Amino acid sequence: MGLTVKLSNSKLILIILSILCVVMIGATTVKDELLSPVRTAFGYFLEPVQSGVNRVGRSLYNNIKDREKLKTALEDNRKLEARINELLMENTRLEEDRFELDRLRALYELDRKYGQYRMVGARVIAKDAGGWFQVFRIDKGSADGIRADMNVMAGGGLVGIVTDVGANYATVRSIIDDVSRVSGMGMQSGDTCIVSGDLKLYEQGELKLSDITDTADIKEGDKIVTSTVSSKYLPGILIGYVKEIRTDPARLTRSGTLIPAADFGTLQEVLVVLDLKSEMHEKPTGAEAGISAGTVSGADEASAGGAGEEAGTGEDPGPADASESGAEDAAGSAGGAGDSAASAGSGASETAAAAEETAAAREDRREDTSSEARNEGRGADTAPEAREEGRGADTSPEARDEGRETEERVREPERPEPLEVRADEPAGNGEAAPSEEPFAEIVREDTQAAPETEPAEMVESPPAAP
Amino acid sequence: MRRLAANIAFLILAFAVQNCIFPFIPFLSAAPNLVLIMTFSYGFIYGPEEGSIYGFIAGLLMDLFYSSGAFGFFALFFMWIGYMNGRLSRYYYENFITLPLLLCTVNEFLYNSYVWVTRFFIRGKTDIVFYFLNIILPEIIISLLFTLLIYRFFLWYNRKLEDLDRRKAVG
Repeated sequence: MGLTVKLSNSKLILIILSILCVVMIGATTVKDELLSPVRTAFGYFLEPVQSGVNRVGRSLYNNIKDREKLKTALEDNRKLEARINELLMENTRLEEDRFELDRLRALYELDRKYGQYRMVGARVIAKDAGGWFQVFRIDKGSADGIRADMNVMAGGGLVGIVTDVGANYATVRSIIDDVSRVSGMGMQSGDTCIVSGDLKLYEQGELKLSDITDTADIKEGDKIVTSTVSSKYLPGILIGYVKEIRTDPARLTRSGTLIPAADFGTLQEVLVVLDLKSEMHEKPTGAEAGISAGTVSGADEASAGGAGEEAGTGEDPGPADASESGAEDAAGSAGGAGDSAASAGSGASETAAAAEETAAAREDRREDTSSEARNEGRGADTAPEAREEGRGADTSPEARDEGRETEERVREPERPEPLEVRADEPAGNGEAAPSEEPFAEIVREDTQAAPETEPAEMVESPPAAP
Repeated sequence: MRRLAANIAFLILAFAVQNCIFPFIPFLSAAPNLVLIMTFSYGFIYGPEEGSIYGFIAGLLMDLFYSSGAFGFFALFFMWIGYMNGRLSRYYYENFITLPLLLCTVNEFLYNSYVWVTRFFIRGKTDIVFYFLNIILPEIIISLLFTLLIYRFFLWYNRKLEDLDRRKAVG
């Protein structure tokens, strides 16, 4: 027996294995995909066991359920017949409404996009049994086209994100997990916030809502959707509804709680969105160079130290051809019909005008928009539907200066849209200016204090000045 | 060797049951940590060497499931649980159930503390009282119940295996 050999030097083995573990922990913390072949190999073997056991458990549970249901079946049947009649009438009415809805939906960009995502259904086969982690495993993997970082939905709301994929399984981390951080925004206003999981709050069925700026228009009952600035989550997926909001002790930001749209307690089937956010702006365009230019000039401004005009001139050597193209884009679409990009560009130019009041506010806003440009700009002029993402590029400092010149032209076709509110808002009052800086600080500190969050997740938080 | 294979098979089955059945039972607010129960039982019955081997395997299973970047996190812990409980196997006495129950409580507490310290406390989530009442305590209670069942089952099938071996040796 091989065991007898091990018996003699068991402590040695223990120590060797311990060291192996520590090395593996270190290696996979730095580079997670190192051991993914091992995981996949084990997955081949483990997945059938898991789904088999899961099937047994499910059928047992369903049998019990079915028996209960039989008892009430007759009564239910009578009720349901009546309900069918009711629904038939309602159905005819709703069909009429549907045509109207289609028209309205065409107007509503977010919803239209929402319907465009390709999805695949999957069954939850395993969950964490303990209370610490909110991760689960689904029975579809890379063989079904699932890849890491895909968004997972259920019941019309965001559930989580795929963290690890094998050939025939995938692991999903729920947004209610304690390390989860999703960048969200108010559906009406477009003001950004951070939705993070919190074990303590989840006991009451809630998520944590934080990093809402002082002036943001997010109030109780608002729908929170995934933000356009998120690096992993597709825009416009419903996360939940704001339950309560209060001002933080520092009075610079607000935070609160959110009730998730998806029901995590009874999760059995989920939908995996096959579109990846990282591929939504895959094509490298000229705007990408503009992004870096934008960030660099943003840094210059920060060092320029409040002198608004100086910052304005310091910006001039900065522009790459890309940001020029961004400006052209803004001007061109401004000339055209009321495109969303056009209104965004003009909204920015309006803020540019408003911001002349205070130099500080101006500098601050520029940082803000340049960081936005970094996130969003990649999508600019790749496809017509990516216009909305292109907003960031349009508001890059150069584009804004251009935009100010074309302000008169632009203002006419423009229609008040939520986007405008958003662009306006940081510059709206001068007092808001200093509030942005500590806010950025807070976010950065938070991500540093949490080494557990994966590096990519950190990007979720609105990037501060470089 | 037969025992090793059978025990590993049981371990995998326990892992599958723990993650694939218990979380889906809606009226159960906590689930027993079967993998931990198996690990310390193996260690306690068979001694430190085998205990640490089973613990290592149990930990690997857990690591495969929780792919949160630090592979080996659970393997390290479970291996030591197997080893330390194995050191206590000199007090092993078949019908003495009190000690396994005590071990269960201690091990559950160690396991949950390990997770809490490494995954929560270092991120500033320090409210141990809340976590203890809402997560650790329910898990300890339900794990104690299952220890009663599983430990009995182990004793029974261990005796069966020994009988088989003895008969083989004789025959």
